Amino acid sequence: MSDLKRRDEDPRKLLIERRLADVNNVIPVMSPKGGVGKTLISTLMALAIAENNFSVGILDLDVTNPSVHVILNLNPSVKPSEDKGVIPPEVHGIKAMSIAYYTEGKPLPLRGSEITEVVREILAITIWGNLDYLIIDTPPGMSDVHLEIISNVGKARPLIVTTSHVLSIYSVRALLTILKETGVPIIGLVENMSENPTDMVIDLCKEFKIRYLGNVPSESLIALSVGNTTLMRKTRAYNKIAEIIKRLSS
Amino acid sequence: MRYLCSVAGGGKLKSVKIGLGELQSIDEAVFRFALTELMRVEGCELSEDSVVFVRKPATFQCRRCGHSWTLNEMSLNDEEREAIHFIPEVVHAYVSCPACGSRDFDVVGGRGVEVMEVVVE
Repeated sequence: MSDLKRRDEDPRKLLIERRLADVNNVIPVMSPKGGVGKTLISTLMALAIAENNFSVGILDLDVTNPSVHVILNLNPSVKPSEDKGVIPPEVHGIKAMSIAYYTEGKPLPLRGSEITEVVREILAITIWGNLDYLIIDTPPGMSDVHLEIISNVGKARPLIVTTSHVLSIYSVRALLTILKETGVPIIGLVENMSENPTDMVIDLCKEFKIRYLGNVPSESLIALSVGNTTLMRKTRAYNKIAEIIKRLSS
Repeated sequence: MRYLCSVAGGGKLKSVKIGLGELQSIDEAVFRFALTELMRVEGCELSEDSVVFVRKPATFQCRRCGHSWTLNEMSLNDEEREAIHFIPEVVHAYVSCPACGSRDFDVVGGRGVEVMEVVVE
């Protein structure tokens, strides 16, 4: 027997492919810069997709700092059910999966290799079934979670989020370079917290030959709407995201 | 399972020794039944009494102070154990170093499932 071969193969990789076999679109929402609104954009996208009667799931892979459950106001007592895997609970028409179900709100500091284990484990155990869209919220940076997605989720077509700030654009340029180098198809870029499209961001999209999907305005109501999806749907940000989703799905 | 079938080559396995990490909290009877049935479906043979399990105790070492300890020294309730069963790394949410209180520790042993030995008939 080939012990070496056996140990090199992680059976979860095969399982991950199967778990995502019936998911039509896997969209990781990425940006190396923190604070640009990845989680909010991810959640608004999932809400808008559900509103358009598509089947949608959201997976929070910001595993050491999950917050999708806070935005969606998930009931912490509701746990995923188990049947040959884990079935994410459905809230607001969205199948929502998060490590937060398993940590009871306690802090979870993890080293890099442990983050890799968690990402593989969650992807391998979660049963999504048939989905039109799976939105994946990712942490800032360009590290274990992002590399796991690039390497093990062949269907992933990332959506990039940036603000018009020069430092955010600088960081996004590095991410786009990595994604282009590895041949990962990019669904497009959203400019967040901007009243109008910015030339620098549009130029970046042109340079990397990716779609500029639109700008999302900054507003105080969005902060107040965390945990209240009814209020969230009344924001300008939600309407802009809904427009983007319509364009993407048409 | 596929690995075991590839070793069996469509025939019969005399015995299989499998290491079960304590953090996985795997039910041996369920696992034994599932493994032998799935092998049968794949056209290989392995009797239930030929499957031997070796429990691998969960052991930890603190990255901050170097202290080593086992899961047995910690008191975890059933919900916490079940959470760790699904995603073993969440042990960092429920366990901290008994010596210095840090959650920054290595899981030295007791994670995962491992085929330790296969004997072909």
